[in-house]
Amino acid sequence: MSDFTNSIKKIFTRKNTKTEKARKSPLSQRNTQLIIAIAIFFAIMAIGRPSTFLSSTNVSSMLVQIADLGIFAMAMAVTMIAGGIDLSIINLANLAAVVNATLLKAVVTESMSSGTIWLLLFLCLIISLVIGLLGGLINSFLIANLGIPEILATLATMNLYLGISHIITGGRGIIGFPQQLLDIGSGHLGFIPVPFIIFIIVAVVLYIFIHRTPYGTHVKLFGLNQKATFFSGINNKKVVYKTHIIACMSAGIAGLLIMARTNSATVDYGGQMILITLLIGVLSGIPATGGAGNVINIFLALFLNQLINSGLNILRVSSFIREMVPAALLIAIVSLEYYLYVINNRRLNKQALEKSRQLNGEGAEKEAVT
Amino acid sequence: MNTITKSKFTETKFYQTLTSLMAKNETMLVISIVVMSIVIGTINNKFFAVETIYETLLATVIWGIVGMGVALVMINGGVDLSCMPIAMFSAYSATKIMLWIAPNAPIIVLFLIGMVIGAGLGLVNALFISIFKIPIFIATLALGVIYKAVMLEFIGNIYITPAEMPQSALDFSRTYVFGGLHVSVLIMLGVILLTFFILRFTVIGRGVYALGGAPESAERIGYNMNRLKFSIYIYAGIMYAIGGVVYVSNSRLADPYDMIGTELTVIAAVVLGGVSLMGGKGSVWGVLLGALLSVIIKNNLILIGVTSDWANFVFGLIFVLAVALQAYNTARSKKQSA
Repeated sequence: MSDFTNSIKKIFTRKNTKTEKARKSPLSQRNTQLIIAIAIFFAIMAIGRPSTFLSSTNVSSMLVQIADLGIFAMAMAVTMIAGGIDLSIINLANLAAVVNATLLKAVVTESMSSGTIWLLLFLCLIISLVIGLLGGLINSFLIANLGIPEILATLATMNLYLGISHIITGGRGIIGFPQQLLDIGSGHLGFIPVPFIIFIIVAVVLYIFIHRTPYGTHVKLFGLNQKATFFSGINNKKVVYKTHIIACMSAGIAGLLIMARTNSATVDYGGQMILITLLIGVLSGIPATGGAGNVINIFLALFLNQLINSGLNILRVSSFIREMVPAALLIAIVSLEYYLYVINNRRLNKQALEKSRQLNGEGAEKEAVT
Repeated sequence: MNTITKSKFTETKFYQTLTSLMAKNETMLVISIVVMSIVIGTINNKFFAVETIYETLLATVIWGIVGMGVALVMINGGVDLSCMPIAMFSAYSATKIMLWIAPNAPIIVLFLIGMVIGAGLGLVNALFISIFKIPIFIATLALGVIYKAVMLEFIGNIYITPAEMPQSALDFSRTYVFGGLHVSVLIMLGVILLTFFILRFTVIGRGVYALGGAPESAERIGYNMNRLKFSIYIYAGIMYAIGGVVYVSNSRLADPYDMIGTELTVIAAVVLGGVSLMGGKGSVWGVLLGALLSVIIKNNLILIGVTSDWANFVFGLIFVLAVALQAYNTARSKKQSA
């Protein structure tokens, strides 16, 4: 949380030192921008519709909605930081859900004790993780060992996983699971819904991976420049494998969570979600080409996205427009970022040119004197 | 002595042409199409009837025409996910506009309106991709969703029934030549030939390959990057529009929810056709053969004994294998050249 507190400190204490770091205004920092945007949206909503927006049911339903989208967004963000993309996560999550659902349907009987069912659910978690691991291995094998571009490789495996789920279910949804699983999906721990807590756990694990391990540094460098990491002795293949395994295993957990939350397992849940996860990644300041990223920012971007979503809901915008908003935002943000980058580059170039001119000018004068 | 060297010479040349042919992706495709046809033909003896062949060709038309655009974008180094939204957007709004302005105009008017709209949408794609430098995949994914939403919100979300369709479109869907070959097959062949000539014999066409293979070198030879990209995306938009109009006329129904969501089928066909996502590689004939192969596989899965539940899986598997095979070939040719 140090970045978070730092950013808050930066808002209130503006230092005017001449060091490079302090010259960057906090407003240009992504987490500050996100906090301001969240505050504005929150204020508009809270003032405009205090009765509906601030009600505890609305807040807790927002937290529940964040949970599985959040895990997908985190998974996608890890691959985006590595300069890639993983389109197969949603279908992999559905595959995990479908496998677990068929298993639970086959095994669980009315007379089972609560203890055995909890044990079974634990087994389900392990199965989800194993499915995630296998999916990640397949994806990264295609990418790292065969050298297939990530978009194409994951597009292909996305279809493969969808096909496997189709074989298992025959395309039908599976509904009706033991009460214990539904308790996870709809339960509350104090005020906070359980799915949200699960999401927080996943997010913390990812935070540790990205910000506190050598792998985190490697993956950022890998996203910046693969050739450089290769020549500096980082095992590129290992980075790809780790990235996709992390993403796919989180997707497996998300699959189980969706099952618990919706009491159903379908082959094509969340068709639009890929776009939204990309949007959240871009909102959180991950460049479209990869190389940087921050879990705290992803968290803030998720909240912002959720606020925008519920704002559209409350405004009763037509469903077509609501589908379009994330896409339009995605395009707008990436375009704006490129535009700012170009302007900044131009400014830096100008500065450098002036500096070199000054130096050259001085040099010429000195030469003339001597 | 003389004869011996001669025979050796022919032997080696024959051997060389054979190996170079075998290394070609198109040859592999032809072989797999022939094998598939023999397998299916032995199970179903109607497969080799002229009508079945004509039908297969007719089913290939959409994938072949739209595939031209997708292939161009892929040679440029990206996956275009906005192909089907553009196709449906242009076809649906062209039908609406034609019904509104001149319901009795000839079919060429429908095509022209659709192509103008398609070119416009391709221009929007090019704008974001070449001016704002958004990665092709992200741009086309988002823009595809936007096109679909704009169409459903502002142009219409109710399908146009066969009774309401323009008369010329209905006539078009019943036009056959050469004793049963649908006229849209000729349109597909025309489009493919046109693309072939543009890619092979024009400066822009060579630029497309140069841009995909080595963008920096292409820029240094003097290609105007932006102009090249704009022409690629506008041409691709026109292709999608033609595909969409043909589809709508042939099915005699303009359903705005139709077609969208089948982008992956086209992309798979194009990848199967040997167009490399690394850019700079691919031929129009490969795309045609890839589309043909995927149609043959798709239409005859049930005949071979694959149930519809397995169809998705088989499609996914073929997609993965095609991609893997292509990557393997690229790696091998790199090794050979090194």
